[in-house]
Amino acid sequence: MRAIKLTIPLVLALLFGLFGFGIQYVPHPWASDTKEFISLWMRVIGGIAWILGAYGLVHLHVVRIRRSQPGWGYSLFFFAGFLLMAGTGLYNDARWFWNAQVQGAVYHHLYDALFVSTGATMFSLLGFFIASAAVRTFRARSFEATLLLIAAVVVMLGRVPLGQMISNYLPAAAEWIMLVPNTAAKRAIMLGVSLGVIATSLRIIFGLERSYLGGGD
Amino acid sequence: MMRVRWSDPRLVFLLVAAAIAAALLHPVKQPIKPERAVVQVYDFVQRLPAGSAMLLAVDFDPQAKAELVPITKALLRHCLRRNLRVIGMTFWPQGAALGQSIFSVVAHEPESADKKLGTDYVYLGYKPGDMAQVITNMGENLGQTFRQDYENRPTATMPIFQDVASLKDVDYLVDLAAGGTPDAWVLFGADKYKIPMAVGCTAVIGPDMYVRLNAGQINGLIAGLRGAADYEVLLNRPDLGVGGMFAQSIIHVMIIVLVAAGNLAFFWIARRRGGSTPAHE
Repeated sequence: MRAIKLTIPLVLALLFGLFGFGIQYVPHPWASDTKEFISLWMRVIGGIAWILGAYGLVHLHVVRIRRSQPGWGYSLFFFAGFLLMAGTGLYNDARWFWNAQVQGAVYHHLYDALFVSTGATMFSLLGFFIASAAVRTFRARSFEATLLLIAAVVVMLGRVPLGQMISNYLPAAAEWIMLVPNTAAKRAIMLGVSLGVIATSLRIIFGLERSYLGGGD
Repeated sequence: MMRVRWSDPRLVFLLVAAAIAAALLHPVKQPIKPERAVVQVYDFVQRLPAGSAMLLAVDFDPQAKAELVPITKALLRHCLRRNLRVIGMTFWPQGAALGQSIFSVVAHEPESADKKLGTDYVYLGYKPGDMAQVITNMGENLGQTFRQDYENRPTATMPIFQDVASLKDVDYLVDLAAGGTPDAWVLFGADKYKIPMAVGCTAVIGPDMYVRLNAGQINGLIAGLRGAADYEVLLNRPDLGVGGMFAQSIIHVMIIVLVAAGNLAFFWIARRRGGSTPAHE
């Protein structure tokens, strides 16, 4: 039992981890052919994952409605949207889903009139929340907060034509902030995250990290 | 009677909505001087010989419509004006139809009347799978990866693919991104196959892209509605980007004024309390 639950998964992780790592660095046609073969399988598995994803989503909302969990009414809207879009997409104006989507079909009207509009509206709400959050949180409480405040004002003015009209230095200063301090901070974060990913991958490959096996080990 | 604080989110929302509506209804023309990062993309496209192949990865969904549709339209117009061959695709399933709509609208504009689908441009749509894997497949064989375009026309017979067999034959790659797709395009596409690359993106992810720009992994950046406006100015064809610039200017100034007012109130309260700063004013 221990072999099935622990030893075999650890050996598989070691073998496939080293294999996946190794073929990236082997300059042999066999390695590139294998990569191509694996990538095709990954795409097939990716396609099947969509079915699993749809099943998971439906299951989640069915459970929510059956148990009358808080907010279960929203799940009805999920089913309305899901069935409407999936139904019209599959029906495809009587040409069915195995043919190309008919331009101007009901599905496209729904996509343009509902999905695009609501999607764009949802994202535009971000502008309102950013404005409100900026008003409530940008305070010159300390030296660092004051620096952040000044940088924000310079970038906000430098990124719009009005800033250019005030002074040509504003866009230049905004560009410098983005290219120098911003890049330095982003690089530090990226390098830190990348080193963390490498360390975690090595721990998984060599069996030191076992939380993915479950059991709280 | 309900007392409304000046920093009440509802009041801020109302002010923002009123300012945007007023600015869009009564726009004031402002001089727009394109940013260097945008000019770099424009100049590169200008220098490409006619007939060069360009890949536009339309990696966004309707949520990013306000920023990325103007950028995509401006770029596509420029490519078609320069007689480049444009291949479009996406890694975002929700945006596949939006990409098709942009290609269709721009290709049917009077200035693109002589452009033929399958010869001068094609939109391949969405391809499922891990990005690294799909890009690797595209690097091996573009026609095999996309056997049909978005409307199920076979790509094998399309003239555009006669000498663009794989990603290696693409002369310029631009990822129009609302998420993390530029990283994969840089790592598995541009760097690996030595393709010059640029990024058009939402303003939110713009700061992330400056790292790539600074490192030379991308040769230009068109970020946010401002980027779209800059490109439209360079193209001398104002559209949604330029049209939204006054509203954006007004909102930025409004936020700065409100932040300044908040700080004045913060210090005024602190002074009244004898120097102790309030947790929330």
